[in-house]
Amino acid sequence: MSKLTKGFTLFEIIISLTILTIISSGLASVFSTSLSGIPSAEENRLAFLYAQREMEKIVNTSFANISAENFPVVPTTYPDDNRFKYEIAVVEEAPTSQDLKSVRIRFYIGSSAQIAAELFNYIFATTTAILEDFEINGELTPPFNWTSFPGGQWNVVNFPIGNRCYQYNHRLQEGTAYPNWPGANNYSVEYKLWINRSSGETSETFSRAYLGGRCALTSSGATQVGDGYYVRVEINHSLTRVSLLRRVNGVYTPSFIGSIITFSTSLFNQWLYIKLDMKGNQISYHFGNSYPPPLRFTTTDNTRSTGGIFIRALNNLGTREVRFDDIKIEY
Amino acid sequence: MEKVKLINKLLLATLNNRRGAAFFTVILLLLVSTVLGGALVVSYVSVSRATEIEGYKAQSLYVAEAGVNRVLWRLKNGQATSSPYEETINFSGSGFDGRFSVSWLSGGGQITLTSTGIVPFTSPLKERRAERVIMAVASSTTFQITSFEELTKMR
Repeated sequence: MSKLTKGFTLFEIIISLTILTIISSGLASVFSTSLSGIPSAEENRLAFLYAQREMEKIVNTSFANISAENFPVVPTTYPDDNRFKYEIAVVEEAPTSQDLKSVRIRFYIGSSAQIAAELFNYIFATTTAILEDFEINGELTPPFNWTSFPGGQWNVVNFPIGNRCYQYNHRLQEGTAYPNWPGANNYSVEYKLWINRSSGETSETFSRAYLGGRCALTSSGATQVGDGYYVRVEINHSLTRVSLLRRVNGVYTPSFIGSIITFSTSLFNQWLYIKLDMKGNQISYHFGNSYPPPLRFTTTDNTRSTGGIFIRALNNLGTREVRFDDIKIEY
Repeated sequence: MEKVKLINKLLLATLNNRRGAAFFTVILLLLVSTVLGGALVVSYVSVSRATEIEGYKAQSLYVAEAGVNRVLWRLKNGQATSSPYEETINFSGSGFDGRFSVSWLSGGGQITLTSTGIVPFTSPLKERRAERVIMAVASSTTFQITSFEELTKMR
Protein backbone atom coordinates (compact mmCIF):
# COMPACT_ATOMS: atom_id res chain seq x y z
CA MET A 1 0.00 0.00 0.00
CA SER A 2 2.78 2.33 0.90
CA LYS A 3 4.48 1.49 -2.42
CA LEU A 4 1.44 2.62 -4.43
CA THR A 5 1.31 6.01 -2.80
CA LYS A 6 4.92 6.56 -3.71
CA GLY A 7 4.26 6.25 -7.52
CA PHE A 8 5.90 4.00 -10.14
CA THR A 9 9.36 2.58 -10.31
CA LEU A 10 11.64 3.38 -13.26
CA PHE A 11 11.16 -0.14 -14.56
CA GLU A 12 7.37 0.23 -14.49
CA ILE A 13 7.59 3.53 -16.36
CA ILE A 14 9.78 2.04 -19.05
CA ILE A 15 7.42 -0.91 -19.46
CA SER A 16 4.38 1.45 -19.61
CA LEU A 17 6.01 3.68 -22.21
CA THR A 18 6.95 0.65 -24.30
CA ILE A 19 3.38 -0.66 -24.19
CA LEU A 20 1.99 2.82 -25.02
CA THR A 21 4.40 3.12 -27.96
CA ILE A 22 3.34 -0.28 -29.32
CA ILE A 23 -0.37 0.58 -28.97
CA SER A 24 -0.03 4.04 -30.55
CA SER A 25 2.04 2.64 -33.44
CA GLY A 26 -0.65 0.07 -34.07
CA LEU A 27 -3.39 2.66 -33.92
CA ALA A 28 -1.48 5.00 -36.23
CA SER A 29 -1.01 2.17 -38.68
CA VAL A 30 -4.73 1.32 -38.62
CA PHE A 31 -5.68 5.01 -38.90
CA SER A 32 -3.38 5.66 -41.84
CA THR A 33 -4.67 2.55 -43.66
CA SER A 34 -8.28 3.67 -43.27
CA LEU A 35 -7.40 7.23 -44.38
CA SER A 36 -5.46 6.14 -47.43
CA GLY A 37 -8.70 5.82 -49.43
CA ILE A 38 -9.80 9.34 -48.58
CA PRO A 39 -8.42 12.05 -50.87
CA SER A 40 -6.54 14.85 -49.25
CA ALA A 41 -7.99 18.33 -49.14
CA GLU A 42 -5.29 19.47 -51.55
CA GLU A 43 -6.22 16.82 -54.11
CA ASN A 44 -9.89 17.77 -53.87
CA ARG A 45 -9.04 21.43 -54.32
CA LEU A 46 -6.95 20.60 -57.38
CA ALA A 47 -9.75 18.46 -58.82
CA PHE A 48 -12.15 21.42 -58.65
CA LEU A 49 -9.52 23.74 -60.08
CA TYR A 50 -9.02 21.45 -63.08
CA ALA A 51 -12.78 21.00 -63.49
CA GLN A 52 -13.25 24.78 -63.59
CA ARG A 53 -10.42 25.10 -66.08
CA GLU A 54 -12.08 22.58 -68.40
CA MET A 55 -15.50 24.20 -68.01
CA GLU A 56 -14.10 27.61 -68.97
CA LYS A 57 -12.47 26.07 -72.04
CA ILE A 58 -15.83 24.62 -73.09
CA VAL A 59 -17.76 27.83 -72.42
CA ASN A 60 -15.32 29.61 -74.73
CA THR A 61 -15.50 26.94 -77.44
CA SER A 62 -17.75 27.44 -80.45
CA PHE A 63 -21.13 25.85 -79.84
CA ALA A 64 -20.77 23.46 -82.79
CA ASN A 65 -17.55 22.04 -81.32
CA ILE A 66 -19.18 21.14 -78.01
CA SER A 67 -19.98 17.55 -78.81
CA ALA A 68 -19.35 14.21 -77.16
CA GLU A 69 -16.87 13.16 -79.83
CA ASN A 70 -14.49 15.94 -78.79
CA PHE A 71 -14.31 14.94 -75.11
CA PRO A 72 -13.52 11.82 -73.05
CA VAL A 73 -16.81 10.11 -72.27
CA VAL A 74 -15.24 7.60 -69.88
CA PRO A 75 -12.71 8.35 -67.13
CA THR A 76 -9.45 9.16 -68.89
CA THR A 77 -6.11 10.30 -67.51
CA TYR A 78 -6.08 14.08 -67.27
CA PRO A 79 -3.27 15.21 -69.59
CA ASP A 80 -2.19 18.12 -67.38
CA ASP A 81 -1.86 16.03 -64.21
CA ASN A 82 -1.78 12.26 -64.49
CA ARG A 83 -2.76 11.80 -60.84
CA PHE A 84 -6.34 12.57 -61.98
CA LYS A 85 -8.87 11.06 -64.36
CA TYR A 86 -11.73 13.03 -65.91
CA GLU A 87 -14.76 12.66 -68.12
CA ILE A 88 -17.03 15.15 -69.87
CA ALA A 89 -20.63 14.35 -70.76
CA VAL A 90 -22.36 16.52 -73.36
CA VAL A 91 -26.10 16.14 -73.86
CA GLU A 92 -28.12 17.74 -76.66
CA GLU A 93 -30.97 19.13 -74.56
CA ALA A 94 -33.02 20.50 -77.45
CA PRO A 95 -32.99 18.00 -80.32
CA THR A 96 -35.37 20.15 -82.39
CA SER A 97 -33.80 23.57 -82.10
CA GLN A 98 -30.28 22.19 -81.43
CA ASP A 99 -29.29 25.29 -79.51
CA LEU A 100 -29.00 24.04 -75.94
CA LYS A 101 -26.50 21.56 -74.56
CA SER A 102 -25.68 20.45 -71.04
CA VAL A 103 -22.11 19.80 -69.98
CA ARG A 104 -21.12 17.74 -66.95
CA ILE A 105 -17.45 17.46 -65.95
CA ARG A 106 -16.27 14.91 -63.43
CA PHE A 107 -12.81 14.48 -61.95
CA TYR A 108 -11.52 11.43 -60.13
CA ILE A 109 -8.37 11.03 -58.06
CA GLY A 110 -6.18 8.17 -59.20
CA SER A 111 -8.13 5.01 -59.87
CA SER A 112 -10.84 5.87 -57.34
CA ALA A 113 -14.40 5.57 -58.64
CA GLN A 114 -15.47 8.26 -56.19
CA ILE A 115 -16.06 11.67 -57.79
CA ALA A 116 -13.72 14.32 -56.39
CA ALA A 117 -15.18 17.26 -58.35
CA GLU A 118 -18.28 17.63 -60.48
CA LEU A 119 -19.49 20.70 -62.38
CA PHE A 120 -22.61 21.23 -64.47
CA ASN A 121 -23.60 23.95 -66.91
CA TYR A 122 -26.04 24.61 -69.72
CA ILE A 123 -24.51 26.07 -72.86
CA PHE A 124 -26.81 28.15 -75.03
CA ALA A 125 -26.00 28.81 -78.67
CA THR A 126 -25.36 32.50 -78.52
CA THR A 127 -25.03 33.78 -82.02
CA THR A 128 -24.41 36.93 -83.91
CA ALA A 129 -27.50 37.72 -85.88
CA ILE A 130 -28.09 40.11 -88.71
CA LEU A 131 -31.66 40.78 -89.65
CA GLU A 132 -32.73 42.52 -92.84
CA ASP A 133 -36.39 43.38 -92.48
CA PHE A 134 -36.42 46.15 -95.13
CA GLU A 135 -37.98 48.59 -92.66
CA ILE A 136 -36.79 52.19 -92.70
CA ASN A 137 -35.85 51.97 -89.01
CA GLY A 138 -34.65 48.41 -89.02
CA GLU A 139 -34.76 46.43 -85.79
CA LEU A 140 -31.13 45.55 -86.15
CA THR A 141 -28.28 47.36 -87.79
CA PRO A 142 -26.64 47.43 -90.17
CA PRO A 143 -29.22 46.99 -92.88
CA PHE A 144 -27.72 45.55 -96.01
CA ASN A 145 -26.89 47.29 -99.22
CA TRP A 146 -28.12 45.01 -101.98
CA THR A 147 -26.62 44.32 -105.38
CA SER A 148 -29.32 43.09 -107.74
CA PHE A 149 -29.86 41.90 -111.31
CA PRO A 150 -31.51 42.69 -113.61
CA GLY A 151 -31.39 46.36 -112.76
CA GLY A 152 -34.61 48.06 -111.71
CA GLN A 153 -36.48 44.81 -111.12
CA TRP A 154 -35.98 44.56 -107.37
CA ASN A 155 -37.90 46.95 -105.15
CA VAL A 156 -38.76 47.39 -101.51
CA VAL A 157 -42.57 47.44 -101.46
CA ASN A 158 -45.26 47.77 -98.85
CA PHE A 159 -46.73 44.35 -98.33
CA PRO A 160 -48.98 43.72 -96.57
CA ILE A 161 -50.00 47.21 -95.46
CA GLY A 162 -47.57 48.52 -92.86
CA ASN A 163 -44.82 46.02 -93.66
CA ARG A 164 -41.96 46.44 -96.10
CA CYS A 165 -40.45 43.56 -98.05
CA TYR A 166 -38.25 42.97 -101.08
CA GLN A 167 -40.06 42.12 -104.33
CA TYR A 168 -38.82 40.82 -107.66
CA ASN A 169 -40.82 42.04 -110.63
CA HIS A 170 -39.38 40.77 -113.93
CA ARG A 171 -41.76 38.36 -115.61
CA LEU A 172 -39.49 35.81 -117.32
CA GLN A 173 -35.85 36.31 -116.36
CA GLU A 174 -34.40 34.85 -113.18
CA GLY A 175 -33.36 37.65 -110.83
CA THR A 176 -30.51 37.68 -108.34
CA ALA A 177 -29.79 39.81 -105.30
CA TYR A 178 -27.08 39.64 -102.65
CA PRO A 179 -26.12 41.87 -99.75
CA ASN A 180 -22.80 43.44 -98.83
CA TRP A 181 -22.18 40.79 -96.20
CA PRO A 182 -18.66 39.34 -96.57
CA GLY A 183 -19.73 35.77 -95.83
CA ALA A 184 -18.59 33.12 -93.35
CA ASN A 185 -17.89 29.40 -93.01
CA ASN A 186 -20.48 28.13 -90.57
CA TYR A 187 -23.78 29.94 -90.40
CA SER A 188 -27.48 29.71 -91.02
CA VAL A 189 -29.57 31.95 -93.22
CA GLU A 190 -33.33 32.13 -93.24
CA TYR A 191 -36.07 34.22 -94.80
CA LYS A 192 -39.76 34.30 -95.24
CA LEU A 193 -41.11 34.01 -98.73
CA TRP A 194 -44.41 34.99 -100.31
CA ILE A 195 -45.12 33.94 -103.88
CA ASN A 196 -48.07 35.95 -104.94
CA ARG A 197 -50.61 34.75 -107.51
CA SER A 198 -53.43 36.84 -108.93
CA SER A 199 -56.94 35.72 -108.19
CA GLY A 200 -58.32 33.17 -110.66
CA GLU A 201 -54.97 32.20 -112.23
CA THR A 202 -54.50 28.41 -112.45
CA SER A 203 -51.32 27.98 -114.51
CA GLU A 204 -49.15 24.87 -114.05
CA THR A 205 -46.06 26.96 -114.79
CA PHE A 206 -43.70 26.99 -111.84
CA SER A 207 -42.58 30.10 -110.03
CA ARG A 208 -39.30 29.64 -108.20
CA ALA A 209 -37.47 31.19 -105.28
CA TYR A 210 -34.01 30.35 -103.99
CA LEU A 211 -32.16 30.89 -100.75
CA GLY A 212 -28.41 30.52 -101.18
CA GLY A 213 -25.55 30.12 -98.72
CA ARG A 214 -21.75 29.89 -98.96
CA CYS A 215 -22.08 31.58 -102.32
CA ALA A 216 -19.06 32.88 -104.18
CA LEU A 217 -18.94 36.65 -104.21
CA THR A 218 -16.28 36.85 -106.90
CA SER A 219 -15.50 34.76 -109.95
CA SER A 220 -12.34 32.66 -109.97
CA GLY A 221 -11.47 29.95 -112.49
CA ALA A 222 -14.46 27.65 -112.81
CA THR A 223 -16.25 29.38 -109.93
CA GLN A 224 -18.87 31.93 -110.91
CA VAL A 225 -20.38 34.61 -108.71
CA GLY A 226 -23.34 33.02 -106.95
CA ASP A 227 -22.05 29.45 -106.96
CA GLY A 228 -23.09 27.83 -103.66
CA TYR A 229 -25.79 25.83 -101.88
CA TYR A 230 -29.43 26.68 -102.52
CA VAL A 231 -32.80 25.73 -101.15
CA ARG A 232 -35.25 25.95 -104.06
CA VAL A 233 -39.01 26.40 -103.65
CA GLU A 234 -41.16 25.77 -106.73
CA ILE A 235 -44.91 26.33 -106.80
CA ASN A 236 -47.51 25.88 -109.54
CA HIS A 237 -51.26 25.49 -109.48
CA SER A 238 -51.07 21.86 -108.33
CA LEU A 239 -48.15 21.47 -106.01
CA THR A 240 -45.24 22.86 -104.05
CA ARG A 241 -41.79 21.32 -104.32
CA VAL A 242 -38.75 22.05 -102.15
CA SER A 243 -35.22 20.75 -102.64
CA LEU A 244 -31.56 21.35 -101.86
CA LEU A 245 -29.07 21.75 -104.69
CA ARG A 246 -25.78 23.34 -105.68
CA ARG A 247 -24.90 25.88 -108.27
CA VAL A 248 -21.54 25.08 -109.86
CA ASN A 249 -19.87 27.22 -112.51
CA GLY A 250 -23.09 29.16 -112.95
CA VAL A 251 -25.28 26.09 -113.47
CA TYR A 252 -27.70 24.39 -111.04
CA THR A 253 -26.78 20.77 -110.40
CA PRO A 254 -29.46 18.11 -109.80
CA SER A 255 -30.97 18.23 -106.31
CA PHE A 256 -29.29 16.21 -103.58
CA ILE A 257 -30.76 12.71 -103.55
CA GLY A 258 -33.53 12.54 -100.97
CA SER A 259 -33.78 16.29 -100.56
CA ILE A 260 -36.93 16.81 -102.65
CA ILE A 261 -40.14 17.24 -100.68
CA THR A 262 -43.40 17.62 -102.56
CA PHE A 263 -46.62 19.00 -101.11
CA SER A 264 -49.81 18.28 -103.03
CA THR A 265 -51.08 21.81 -102.56
CA SER A 266 -49.87 25.07 -104.02
CA LEU A 267 -48.63 27.27 -101.23
CA PHE A 268 -49.23 30.60 -103.00
CA ASN A 269 -50.28 33.75 -101.16
CA GLN A 270 -48.94 32.88 -97.71
CA TRP A 271 -45.69 33.32 -95.86
CA LEU A 272 -43.35 30.34 -96.15
CA TYR A 273 -40.31 29.97 -93.89
CA ILE A 274 -37.04 28.62 -95.26
CA LYS A 275 -33.76 28.14 -93.45
CA LEU A 276 -30.41 26.88 -94.72
CA ASP A 277 -27.85 25.60 -92.16
CA MET A 278 -24.17 25.11 -92.96
CA LYS A 279 -21.88 23.64 -90.30
CA GLY A 280 -18.65 22.09 -91.52
CA ASN A 281 -19.57 19.67 -94.28
CA GLN A 282 -23.14 19.31 -92.95
CA ILE A 283 -25.77 21.10 -95.01
CA SER A 284 -29.40 21.15 -93.87
CA TYR A 285 -32.59 22.91 -94.79
CA HIS A 286 -35.81 23.68 -92.94
CA PHE A 287 -39.12 24.48 -94.59
CA GLY A 288 -42.66 25.17 -93.40
CA ASN A 289 -45.55 27.61 -93.47
CA SER A 290 -45.20 28.45 -89.78
CA TYR A 291 -42.24 29.54 -87.66
CA PRO A 292 -39.89 27.92 -86.80
CA PRO A 293 -39.88 25.71 -89.89
CA PRO A 294 -39.09 22.02 -89.26
CA LEU A 295 -35.87 20.37 -90.39
CA ARG A 296 -36.49 18.60 -93.69
CA PHE A 297 -33.16 17.34 -94.98
CA THR A 298 -29.49 17.03 -94.02
CA THR A 299 -26.57 15.92 -96.14
CA THR A 300 -22.80 16.17 -96.18
CA ASP A 301 -20.93 17.93 -98.92
CA ASN A 302 -17.53 19.57 -99.29
CA THR A 303 -18.06 21.55 -102.48
CA ARG A 304 -18.18 24.94 -100.79
CA SER A 305 -16.72 25.84 -97.41
CA THR A 306 -17.35 29.59 -97.28
CA GLY A 307 -19.25 32.38 -98.93
CA GLY A 308 -22.10 34.86 -98.66
CA ILE A 309 -25.84 34.68 -99.19
CA PHE A 310 -27.89 35.02 -102.36
CA ILE A 311 -31.58 35.22 -103.08
CA ARG A 312 -32.97 34.37 -106.49
CA ALA A 313 -36.43 34.48 -107.98
CA LEU A 314 -38.24 33.51 -111.16
CA ASN A 315 -41.85 34.68 -111.49
CA ASN A 316 -42.38 33.02 -114.89
CA LEU A 317 -45.84 34.59 -115.30
CA GLY A 318 -47.13 38.16 -115.27
CA THR A 319 -49.67 37.12 -112.67
CA ARG A 320 -46.98 36.25 -110.09
CA GLU A 321 -44.54 38.14 -107.85
CA VAL A 322 -41.95 36.75 -105.48
CA ARG A 323 -41.44 38.64 -102.20
CA PHE A 324 -38.81 38.18 -99.49
CA ASP A 325 -38.72 39.47 -95.91
CA ASP A 326 -36.90 39.08 -92.57
CA ILE A 327 -33.69 37.74 -94.02
CA LYS A 328 -31.69 36.61 -91.00
CA ILE A 329 -28.13 35.35 -90.77
CA GLU A 330 -26.85 33.69 -87.59
CA TYR A 331 -23.23 32.70 -87.11
CA MET B 1 32.67 -6.03 -3.46
CA GLU B 2 31.57 -4.08 -0.46
CA LYS B 3 32.04 -0.88 -2.46
CA VAL B 4 29.77 -2.14 -5.25
CA LYS B 5 27.05 -3.05 -2.82
CA LEU B 6 27.30 0.36 -1.26
CA ILE B 7 26.99 2.09 -4.65
CA ASN B 8 23.94 0.00 -5.59
CA LYS B 9 22.30 0.80 -2.28
CA LEU B 10 22.92 4.52 -2.80
CA LEU B 11 21.54 4.42 -6.38
CA LEU B 12 18.40 2.59 -5.28
CA ALA B 13 17.81 5.06 -2.52
CA THR B 14 18.13 7.95 -5.00
CA LEU B 15 15.69 6.38 -7.44
CA ASN B 16 13.20 5.60 -4.72
CA ASN B 17 13.20 9.27 -3.79
CA ARG B 18 12.20 10.29 -7.44
CA ARG B 19 9.26 7.90 -7.90
CA GLY B 20 6.62 10.70 -7.46
CA ALA B 21 8.22 12.86 -10.18
CA ALA B 22 8.01 9.99 -12.68
CA PHE B 23 4.25 9.66 -12.13
CA PHE B 24 3.66 13.33 -12.94
CA THR B 25 5.94 13.12 -15.97
CA VAL B 26 3.78 10.32 -17.41
CA ILE B 27 0.56 12.25 -16.77
CA LEU B 28 2.08 15.33 -18.43
CA LEU B 29 3.19 13.32 -21.47
CA LEU B 30 -0.26 11.81 -21.88
CA LEU B 31 -1.85 15.27 -21.57
CA VAL B 32 0.44 16.80 -24.19
CA SER B 33 -0.21 13.85 -26.55
CA THR B 34 -3.98 14.23 -26.12
CA VAL B 35 -3.88 17.98 -26.81
CA LEU B 36 -1.67 17.52 -29.89
CA GLY B 37 -3.85 14.68 -31.21
CA GLY B 38 -7.00 16.71 -30.66
CA ALA B 39 -5.53 19.71 -32.45
CA LEU B 40 -4.61 17.51 -35.41
CA VAL B 41 -8.13 16.11 -35.64
CA VAL B 42 -9.70 19.59 -35.42
CA SER B 43 -7.29 20.89 -38.06
CA TYR B 44 -8.06 17.99 -40.43
CA VAL B 45 -11.83 18.45 -40.03
CA SER B 46 -11.71 22.22 -40.59
CA VAL B 47 -9.49 21.91 -43.70
CA SER B 48 -11.79 19.23 -45.10
CA ARG B 49 -14.83 21.38 -44.49
CA ALA B 50 -13.22 24.44 -46.08
CA THR B 51 -12.34 22.36 -49.16
CA GLU B 52 -15.89 21.02 -49.31
CA ILE B 53 -17.34 24.56 -49.20
CA GLU B 54 -14.86 25.71 -51.88
CA GLY B 55 -16.20 22.93 -54.11
CA TYR B 56 -19.80 23.98 -53.44
CA LYS B 57 -18.90 27.57 -54.34
CA ALA B 58 -17.53 26.52 -57.72
CA GLN B 59 -20.55 24.32 -58.36
CA SER B 60 -23.08 26.99 -57.38
CA LEU B 61 -21.48 29.56 -59.72
CA TYR B 62 -21.90 27.26 -62.72
CA VAL B 63 -25.39 26.29 -61.57
CA ALA B 64 -26.31 30.00 -61.56
CA GLU B 65 -24.74 30.42 -65.01
CA ALA B 66 -26.67 27.36 -66.21
CA GLY B 67 -29.84 29.12 -65.04
CA VAL B 68 -29.13 32.18 -67.18
CA ASN B 69 -28.47 30.05 -70.26
CA ARG B 70 -31.51 27.88 -69.63
CA VAL B 71 -33.88 30.85 -69.33
CA LEU B 72 -32.41 32.61 -72.37
CA TRP B 73 -32.95 29.44 -74.35
CA ARG B 74 -36.54 29.20 -73.11
CA LEU B 75 -37.20 32.82 -74.01
CA LYS B 76 -35.71 32.37 -77.47
CA ASN B 77 -37.75 29.27 -78.11
CA GLY B 78 -40.98 30.67 -76.70
CA GLN B 79 -40.99 28.33 -73.71
CA ALA B 80 -40.55 30.84 -70.93
CA THR B 81 -42.88 30.46 -68.02
CA SER B 82 -43.47 33.25 -65.54
CA SER B 83 -40.51 34.68 -63.65
CA PRO B 84 -38.86 33.26 -61.57
CA TYR B 85 -37.95 30.00 -63.26
CA GLU B 86 -36.40 27.28 -61.09
CA GLU B 87 -34.76 24.00 -61.88
CA THR B 88 -32.97 21.34 -59.87
CA ILE B 89 -29.60 20.12 -61.10
CA ASN B 90 -28.81 16.59 -60.11
CA PHE B 91 -25.27 15.84 -58.99
CA SER B 92 -26.05 12.15 -58.76
CA GLY B 93 -22.45 11.07 -58.58
CA SER B 94 -21.80 13.39 -55.67
CA GLY B 95 -25.00 12.46 -53.85
CA PHE B 96 -26.69 15.86 -53.67
CA ASP B 97 -28.66 18.38 -55.76
CA GLY B 98 -28.08 21.95 -56.79
CA ARG B 99 -30.76 24.45 -57.73
CA PHE B 100 -31.04 27.67 -59.68
CA SER B 101 -33.72 30.29 -59.48
CA VAL B 102 -33.79 32.90 -62.23
CA SER B 103 -35.88 36.05 -62.35
CA TRP B 104 -35.85 38.44 -65.27
CA LEU B 105 -37.15 41.75 -66.55
CA SER B 106 -37.51 42.84 -70.17
CA GLY B 107 -37.43 46.38 -71.47
CA GLY B 108 -35.55 48.73 -73.75
CA GLY B 109 -34.49 45.89 -76.04
CA GLN B 110 -32.79 44.11 -73.15
CA ILE B 111 -33.45 41.26 -70.77
CA THR B 112 -31.94 41.56 -67.29
CA LEU B 113 -31.64 38.22 -65.52
CA THR B 114 -30.72 37.53 -61.91
CA SER B 115 -29.78 33.94 -61.20
CA THR B 116 -29.10 32.34 -57.82
CA GLY B 117 -27.30 29.00 -57.65
CA ILE B 118 -27.41 26.96 -54.43
CA VAL B 119 -25.35 23.81 -53.77
CA PRO B 120 -26.24 21.53 -52.10
CA PHE B 121 -29.83 22.63 -52.27
CA THR B 122 -31.07 20.16 -49.67
CA SER B 123 -28.58 21.06 -46.93
CA PRO B 124 -30.48 22.38 -43.90
CA LEU B 125 -27.41 24.22 -42.62
CA LYS B 126 -26.64 27.49 -44.35
CA GLU B 127 -22.97 27.26 -43.38
CA ARG B 128 -22.71 23.87 -45.08
CA ARG B 129 -23.81 25.09 -48.54
CA ALA B 130 -22.82 27.74 -51.06
CA GLU B 131 -25.03 30.34 -52.70
CA ARG B 132 -23.90 32.57 -55.54
CA VAL B 133 -25.85 35.22 -57.41
CA ILE B 134 -25.11 36.54 -60.88
CA MET B 135 -26.72 39.19 -63.03
CA ALA B 136 -26.65 39.02 -66.82
CA VAL B 137 -27.97 41.42 -69.43
CA ALA B 138 -28.89 40.05 -72.86
CA SER B 139 -30.30 41.46 -76.07
CA SER B 140 -34.01 40.71 -76.39
CA THR B 141 -33.56 40.23 -80.14
CA THR B 142 -30.47 38.05 -80.42
CA PHE B 143 -30.44 36.76 -76.79
CA GLN B 144 -26.71 37.37 -76.71
CA ILE B 145 -25.33 38.21 -73.27
CA THR B 146 -23.87 41.70 -73.28
CA SER B 147 -22.81 41.91 -69.63
CA PHE B 148 -22.26 39.44 -66.83
CA GLU B 149 -21.57 40.26 -63.19
CA GLU B 150 -21.45 38.38 -59.91
CA LEU B 151 -23.49 39.98 -57.15
CA THR B 152 -22.44 37.60 -54.36
CA LYS B 153 -20.50 39.16 -51.53
CA MET B 154 -17.86 36.51 -50.90
CA ARG B 155 -16.91 36.02 -47.31
